[in-house]
Amino acid sequence: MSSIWIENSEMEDKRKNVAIKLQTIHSRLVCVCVCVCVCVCVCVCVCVCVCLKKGNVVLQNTRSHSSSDVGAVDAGIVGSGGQRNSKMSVLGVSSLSRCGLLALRSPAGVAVRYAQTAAAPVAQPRIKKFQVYRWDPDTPGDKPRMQTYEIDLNSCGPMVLDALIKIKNEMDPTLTFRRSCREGICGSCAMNINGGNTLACVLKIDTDISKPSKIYPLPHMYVVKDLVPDMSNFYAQYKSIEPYLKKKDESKEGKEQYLQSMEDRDKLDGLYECILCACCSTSCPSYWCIADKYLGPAVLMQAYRWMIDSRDDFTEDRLSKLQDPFSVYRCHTIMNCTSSCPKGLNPGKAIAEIKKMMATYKEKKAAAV
Amino acid sequence: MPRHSKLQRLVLTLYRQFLRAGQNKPGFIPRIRDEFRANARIKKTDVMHIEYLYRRGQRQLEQLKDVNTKQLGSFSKPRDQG
Repeated sequence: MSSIWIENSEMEDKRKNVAIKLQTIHSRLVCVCVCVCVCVCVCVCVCVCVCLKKGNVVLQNTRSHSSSDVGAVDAGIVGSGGQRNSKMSVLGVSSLSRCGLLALRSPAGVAVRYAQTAAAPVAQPRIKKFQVYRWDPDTPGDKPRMQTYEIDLNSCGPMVLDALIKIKNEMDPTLTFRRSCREGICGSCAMNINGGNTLACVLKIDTDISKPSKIYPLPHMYVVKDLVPDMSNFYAQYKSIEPYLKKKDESKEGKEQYLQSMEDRDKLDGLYECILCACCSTSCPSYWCIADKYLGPAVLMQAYRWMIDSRDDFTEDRLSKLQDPFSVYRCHTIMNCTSSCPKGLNPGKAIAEIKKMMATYKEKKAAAV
Repeated sequence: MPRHSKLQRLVLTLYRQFLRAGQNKPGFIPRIRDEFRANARIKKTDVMHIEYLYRRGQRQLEQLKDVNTKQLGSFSKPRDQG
C-alpha cells in the first residue's frame, strides 16, 4: 500500500517536470491549446484517468527492471526510475495531442482529481424531535409539562447529552439537567430516555426521525427542577451501609497496603465499577413502592462488595444489619436493575448472593446458639 | 373554627423545628421568618408547590441543625433595579 502512495507522488513530480519541459518547447502550442481547453474540460478529466493508468503500468514495468539491480540504493532506483519514467511518460503524453494540455494543466488536473475525491454533497437536514419533561417550581403556578424541541442531527453530536447541551446553548437556556464527565463515568446525567434509565452521555440518539425522543427524569424520584432528581434519600441509604473498610485491628492503619490474593481481588470485579448513577434503583418497582425502607439494588450491590472484600473484618455485622424484612427481602428478582445498568453490571445477582450469605449466616448463628 | 389540614400542621412543625434550631445562632430567626412569611402567600390548593418547599425546607433544616453551622447571612436584591 505504501509503495503505491510513493508512486503517486513520483507521478506528480514527474508531471511537473514534464510540464516545465513542455512549456519551454511547446510554448506556442500551449497558447493555442488554452482556448481549446475550456471547451473540452470534461474530456480532459477522462484523459487524466486514462493517463494515470497508463503511467502506472509504465512505472510498474520500470520498477520491476530496476529492482533486479543488485546493490542499488533506493534513492538511485527512484532517480533512475523517475528519469526513465519521465521519458516514457513524455512519449505517452505526446502521443495524444490533448495530453500536452494535460501536462500543462497537471496542477489543475491534480486539483480536479482532488476535487473529485474530496467534495461531499451538502446533506439534507435531519430534524429529530425531543420531548423533554419541564417543571420549574420557582415560577409560581407552574405545572409539569412536556416541551418539544427540534434538533438537526447533522449539526449535533451522536449522544443524547450532546442534544440536550445544544438545546440549552441555542434554544432554551432554562433547561436544567445534571452533567459532568460526558463519558459515562460520573453518573450525573442519569435520566429516563425513551422509557429506559441510562446515562444521557452514553446513549446514542436514535436516528429514526419519524419518532420523537422522550426524556424524563429518573422515575419515582422527587424532582428538584426539570430533569434534576432529588438524590438525598439515595445517598443517605448508601451512607447507612457504611461503605468503607472496617478492620478489627486498626493498629496497622496507614502503614502499608492490606494484602489480598488475586482470587479475592477477582471477586470484586463487576462490583467496584458501580458509579452510583441510581439507574438500577429507580427502575426497580419494589424501590418505587418502599423507597425509604428498601435499600435498592445499587446500595445492596455496594453492601455485597464490602461483605466479600477479604480485607474487611466486619462481614457478619454487615449481614446482621440487613436482617429485617425490608432492607433486602423486598427484592423479588424482577431484574429490571440488571437490564438498565449503563455500565453492564449485575446488581440482581449480587442481591441473590447476599440472600445466600444471609441464609448461611443465620444457620451458623443458630448452630452457635 | 376550621382546623389546620395535615399539610398545614406539617409546615407548622417544620417552622417550630427551624426556630428551635436557630435559637442560639445569630442571624437565623429573621431569615427563617422572612422565608416562611413570603411563602405563606401560596394558595392552599397548590399542594405540589407546598410539598416541594417542605422537602426543600427539611433538607435545609438538616444543614442548620449541624453543629458546625454557626451563622446565617443573606443577600437581598434592592427594590429599584440600579
